[in-house]
Amino acid sequence: MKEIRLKGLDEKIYYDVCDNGLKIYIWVNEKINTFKGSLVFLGGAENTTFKIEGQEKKVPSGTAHYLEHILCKNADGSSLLGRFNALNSYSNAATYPNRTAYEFVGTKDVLKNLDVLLDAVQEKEFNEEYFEKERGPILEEERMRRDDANRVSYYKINACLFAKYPNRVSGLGTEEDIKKITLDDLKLFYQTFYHPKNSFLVVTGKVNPEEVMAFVKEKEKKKVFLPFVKPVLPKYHEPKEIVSSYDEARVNVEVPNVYISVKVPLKDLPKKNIVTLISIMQVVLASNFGDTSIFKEELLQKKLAVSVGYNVEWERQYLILSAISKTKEPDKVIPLLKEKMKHLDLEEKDIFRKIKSTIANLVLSYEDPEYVNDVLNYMLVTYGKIITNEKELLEKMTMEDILEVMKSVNFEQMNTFVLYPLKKEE
Amino acid sequence: MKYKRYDLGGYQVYTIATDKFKNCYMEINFRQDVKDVSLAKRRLLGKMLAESSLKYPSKREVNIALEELYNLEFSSGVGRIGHNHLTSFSFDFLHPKYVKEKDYLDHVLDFAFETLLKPNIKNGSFDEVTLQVVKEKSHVSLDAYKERPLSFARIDSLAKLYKGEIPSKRAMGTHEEIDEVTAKDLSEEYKKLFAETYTEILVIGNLDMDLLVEKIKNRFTKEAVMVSNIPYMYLPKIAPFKQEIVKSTYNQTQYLVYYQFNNLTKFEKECVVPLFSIMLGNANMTDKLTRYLRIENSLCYYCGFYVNTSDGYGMFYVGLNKENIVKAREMIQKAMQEMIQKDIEEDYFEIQKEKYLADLKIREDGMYSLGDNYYLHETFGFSSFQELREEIPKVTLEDIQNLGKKMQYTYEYILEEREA
Repeated sequence: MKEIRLKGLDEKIYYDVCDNGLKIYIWVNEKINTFKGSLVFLGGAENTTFKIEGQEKKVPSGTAHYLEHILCKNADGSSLLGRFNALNSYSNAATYPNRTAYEFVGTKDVLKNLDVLLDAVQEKEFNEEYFEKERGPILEEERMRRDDANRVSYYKINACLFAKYPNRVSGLGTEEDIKKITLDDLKLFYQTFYHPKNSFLVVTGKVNPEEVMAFVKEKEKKKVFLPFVKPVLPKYHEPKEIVSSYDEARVNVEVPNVYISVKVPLKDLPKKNIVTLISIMQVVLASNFGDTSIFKEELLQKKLAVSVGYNVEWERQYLILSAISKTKEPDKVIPLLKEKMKHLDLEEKDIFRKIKSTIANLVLSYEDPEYVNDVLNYMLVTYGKIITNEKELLEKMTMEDILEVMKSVNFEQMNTFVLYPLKKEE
Repeated sequence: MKYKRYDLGGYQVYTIATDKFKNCYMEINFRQDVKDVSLAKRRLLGKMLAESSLKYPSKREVNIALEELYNLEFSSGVGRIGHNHLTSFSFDFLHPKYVKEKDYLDHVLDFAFETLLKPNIKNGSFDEVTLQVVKEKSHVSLDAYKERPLSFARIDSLAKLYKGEIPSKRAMGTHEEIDEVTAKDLSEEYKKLFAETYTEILVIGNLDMDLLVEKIKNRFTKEAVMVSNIPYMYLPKIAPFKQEIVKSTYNQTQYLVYYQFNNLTKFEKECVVPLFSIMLGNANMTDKLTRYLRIENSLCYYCGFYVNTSDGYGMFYVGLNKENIVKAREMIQKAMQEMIQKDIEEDYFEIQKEKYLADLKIREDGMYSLGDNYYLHETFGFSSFQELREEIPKVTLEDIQNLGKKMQYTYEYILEEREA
């Protein structure tokens, strides 16, 4: 068992690998009662086409999510969650664009929780009857999501920004997709992505790391898996240009929401650690559109906007920088946001105050086992490893670094998206 | 963990000394009978105090000060427990050991009490421009619930079920009430906040609490308020059954069913209701409702049973296709009947009790849930976590059955999806 030390945070992650390739990460907090476990597979909603031993495979959108639902069922069709309930724990599962996670939160018998989780997800027997029965709840979930304004804007904006990336369509699938999904699609996805070598386990909270590590390694030793054939995922040649510079939609919002998004190719930026690049963008946007910006204060005081915010997303070979506002006067606010985005202020005092508060948040974040579990999951999927020097990177950031990075950002590929309220007659 | 209460005449300080958390938390609550509170004014006052002070005359300057204090999180809010209206100010900050400045805790307290005690009032009035910003945000916040179908259904159904009564009112007031408030009104409301309310301060963290309370005393004094006890339960008039169907522009229908009650004992409210609610609609996919609606009949993705003991109602909620309402109604009634007929396996009941005890431990790991429990315990006499651990095992299936019999089916609300 190795120890991964998080520099400057006085925290460590225990790490080991099972013989079958399953990686295990453990973070301990002795002062609390709670623990969380998550088993994560590197296959998610966006993996609808892939090659296995040279053969092209395709499943409908929504397959990963349907499979997640089915894996949460026992052999008799009852819910797997009930087995965790009997251990006095909570459990849940979630499908992300690039991963699917199965998790539990409890206060006693972490080994029994792990036993149920590993067996249920790694050794699945499928059944046609309960596969069909689950289609109804999934269709209702899809209908529910259609009323979610954030979700509508996320996919619409991605469709404006990206021509090739699969993040343009809902990972849940449309009603039509969901109706098309067969049990064979689920089996294919399961056989392809659900292998120990394509997964990791993260356990956080009040646990004994030696005990957990020994238990999982011993348990995994007894399981038999076919050799892992790594699926070949499509390579997307995404052009630098955005697809469209403007789009709008109407949903159940009370006030129009405006999004200004810039597509920034990573290859245009100086060669720096991706964590540094993202941090720089975040602090710069925070000082221009965040709670301490003069620009935001003016928009609010002139009653042009009711809120102003920002976001930074990393999407494969691009960073997306966004300014967001709720406004009753989108026509007046859009040009102001665009202008501001093109002429970002780089005030040293502001930026370093933001860095100081980001460091404070980082120190605080290693406390809650549920949050730490999510952070480790995110790092492992996004960066492929645990980032050990996040605090150091923030502390070492200089104004020169920031100026160098921001000088290389081209703001030409800019999209405007507006979410309007439904028309009254609708 | 060490709990301690300090009675300081004009106000009380409740403290929990614990090394569980890297941050510390302070909440200042002003409590008053809701009938004596102008909802819109009180909420706008809270927001105005959070928006600026004499030292920090704009929201931006407040935010800069918060960042200087290592991202101190500061917010104001309003809420209600039974007849008690609460205006709260919360401060979430790093434990002083993580920062270089030796007097960090003093700076945090200075910020907190300057905000409350030195408001941005000039010539007897709050700042008009700031008030307009706060009003604009309030109007938008007031309507934000319409963006989520279940929130819309819940708020609209409560307004219709309790027409004009306390549970029907939003803590923010109405659009008309917000419009009527002037900057001068708020300076009068500010005086009332201190003159007419009970005040309780809650502090959680790994701090020397005796020393901290001395620091608070040096910054904050208040006259004692002599008013009678404010009931923490609203006792509803049980209405005859009615049904409401409302058209909507949402894609999914929301089906809500209300049961009311007004004569629960302390033991029922604190120990029987949670177990009843878990087994009926909140047991991680093993409850009756999920089993009948989702697993056996594929009618929905989400459903549940929510209980508000201080307002005297329980509410079933389901998001579904409107064609399935008849079946859903049948299944809800079946689930409820089984609770009343004690149709619950003994083993399952025991597991849910243990599960609830485990939930208490999880809640003790959360700073806010830990604080909520202690605040309710000291202020209203709710059971502490320790007392709940002793009482929960005493709940019997007969208690569950009796609770079911006390609940009356009074209201059905359907928020219909848009026409295809």
